Parts: sequence; structure tokens; C-alpha cells
Amino acid sequence: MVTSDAPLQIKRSLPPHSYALSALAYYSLRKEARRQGIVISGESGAGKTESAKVCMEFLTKLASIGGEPGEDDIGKKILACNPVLEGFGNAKTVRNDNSSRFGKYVLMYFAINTDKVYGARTKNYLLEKSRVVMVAPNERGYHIFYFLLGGCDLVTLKELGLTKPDGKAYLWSDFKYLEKGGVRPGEDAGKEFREVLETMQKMNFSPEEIKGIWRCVAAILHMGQIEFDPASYDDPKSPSAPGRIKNEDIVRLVAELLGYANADELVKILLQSVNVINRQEIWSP
Amino acid sequence: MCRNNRDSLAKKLFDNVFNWLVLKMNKTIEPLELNDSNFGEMAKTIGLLDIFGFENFDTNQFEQFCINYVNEKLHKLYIAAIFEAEK
Repeated sequence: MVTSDAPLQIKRSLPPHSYALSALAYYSLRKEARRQGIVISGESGAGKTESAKVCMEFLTKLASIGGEPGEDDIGKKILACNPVLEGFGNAKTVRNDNSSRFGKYVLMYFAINTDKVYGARTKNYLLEKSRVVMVAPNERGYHIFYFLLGGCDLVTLKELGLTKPDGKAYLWSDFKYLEKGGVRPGEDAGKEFREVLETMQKMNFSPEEIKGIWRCVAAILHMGQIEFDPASYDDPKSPSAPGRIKNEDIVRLVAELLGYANADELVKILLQSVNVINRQEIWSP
Repeated sequence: MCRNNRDSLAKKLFDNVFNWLVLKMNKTIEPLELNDSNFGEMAKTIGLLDIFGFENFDTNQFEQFCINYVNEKLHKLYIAAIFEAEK
């Protein structure tokens, strides 16, 4: 199979297929020792991300043929990245329940002599940041918010300030950043959350690092709850009046989650704007 | 404006978390010799590009502009390559 040219010949007689294409890329790589590229393009929701996964899977499969068992660990790790990337970078849109909100370029390295999978490097492009703070009707924010709220254990959630006074977890609809969105039918947040968590562990994330990520995610949710006194800004009569935060306890919580020693710093950042003129920082309310 | 401050901070924070995750995962899977300058030229690679596709929602934002612009560019490149190959 490894030396056969078959994959190169079937390509024109059949409709295009992800496997055939991946095989073609792999055998061309072997034969010509030239770098190959696969570009997946199409309309939103057409299945690009799924195709990319199929290609990656098949490439690692092909490259591990004839290898010792356990040898393709690196291949498994490369594939294992996906749940994390999707959890943090995908969201539901009106067209697609699991739409990638970022671009990615995966460069797979193959060993020079054996053509086995050697490693990979992912580069990400342009994550849709506006989705973090605003969700259109019938869409959702990034999956991870929902996974965390619906799938994380209550002890951790409590540490993150994500439990109600009665001990139950908050729902996504309790948060301003998510409340306008909808639901994704048939989702098991618990299962999805575990998958993301297990992937992180597999990828050598330390427990502290994982906790740090949850703190950041939780801090973002809490940040959405910070409210300002409407009288204190956009007031034409006193445009330079200092702003006021209505619920400073939340600011304190956010500061704590993010490891700010001093919550007042955060208050200052929130209420003032900085203009840098001639390399001088000018803080104004 | 205060809301803007708050939202920008949240956006940036999420973006940083995401970038950090990618970086961290790369550390686990990328070849050790990557920083070796010879390695880059010798390596056999297959690149796989998976980007967001064309989008047209009821209300479109700057992001949609960027997404569609990239797609236009990509399409142009693709067509150019095809014509080049057929010549």
C-alpha cells in the first residue's frame, strides 16, 4: 500500500473525497519530497472544519501504517487538540451549530526519512471577538461558557463565583453577555466539558494552568455584569464627570479571579480612558 | 464609554486565553527542532488551511467584512492558480 501509486490514479475517475485528497497530498509528499498544501474553503456551514478533521485524521492514519503500536502518539495528540480549539473558538450561529469563529492553519511535519508524523503546529487567525460580549438572537457565545456553567463540578464553580446563594450553578441566561442568545439542541454540557478538560490534561496542562483558564472564563462572564451609573456618563451637561460603578462587589470578584491585588486598579481602568500623546499617558474620566 | 472599556477588556482577555491555548498546545505537538534554521527548509510538511467561510447575516459586522474579504482573496488566488496550471 505504501509504495502503490493507486491513490494518484483514482483521483479523476471518482468524485472528490477528503480521503483521496489527503492520500494524494501524502503520496506526493513522499514521491516528490515537496511541501504540500490543502486549502479548504466554502460557505459558512458547508463542513470545512469537519473535512479538515477528516483530512488530519486520515493523514495521521496513513503515516502510521507499518509503525509500531504506540508510535503514533504524536499523531493522536495532534488530533486531540480539536476539542479545546472548538470549545473556545466555535459557537452556534444561525447557520451552523458548531461554527468555527476563527481561521486556522495546521502545518503537519513528517519525518524526513520515515515519512511518519513528526509534529504539527497550529496557527490561528482572527478570532471573532465581538461574540464574547454580544450575541445575536438564536446564536450563542463561545461553547466554553456553556460547557463550564453546565458541566463543571459545583466546588470549582463556587470558587469561580458561579454558584447562586442556594448552591446551584448559574444558568447561561443569568449573564448579560449570553442572555440574548439561544440554546443548542441536544447538547450534553457535562460530556463536552469533560472532553475539553481531559484534552487539556492530555496536552500537559498543569492543574494550576487549567484553573487559571477557568478563572479567566469566569471573570469574563462576571465582567458583563458590571454596571455603570447611567447618570455618570454620556451626560452632556457634565461630560467630564467621573463615572461610577453600581456594583463594585463584582469588580472585586473579577479582580480576585484575575489575580489583581488591588481592585481599585481595575476600577480605574474601567472608568477612565487613556490617550497616549507624545509617549505620555493621559488618563481622563 | 465605560461599557466600551469593560467590553474591550473582556474581548481582549478571551482572545489572550485563546492564543495562549494554541501556543500551549503547540508546545506539546511541535517538533523540537523547529527553532533550528536548517530544519525549516528540509522539513516535509503538509499544510492544512481551514478558515471561516462566506457569511451574510441579517446584520453584519466588521468581522464579516474581514471574513468575506479573506475569502475573496483566497478565491482569487485559487482562480489564478488554476489558470496558471491550465496554460
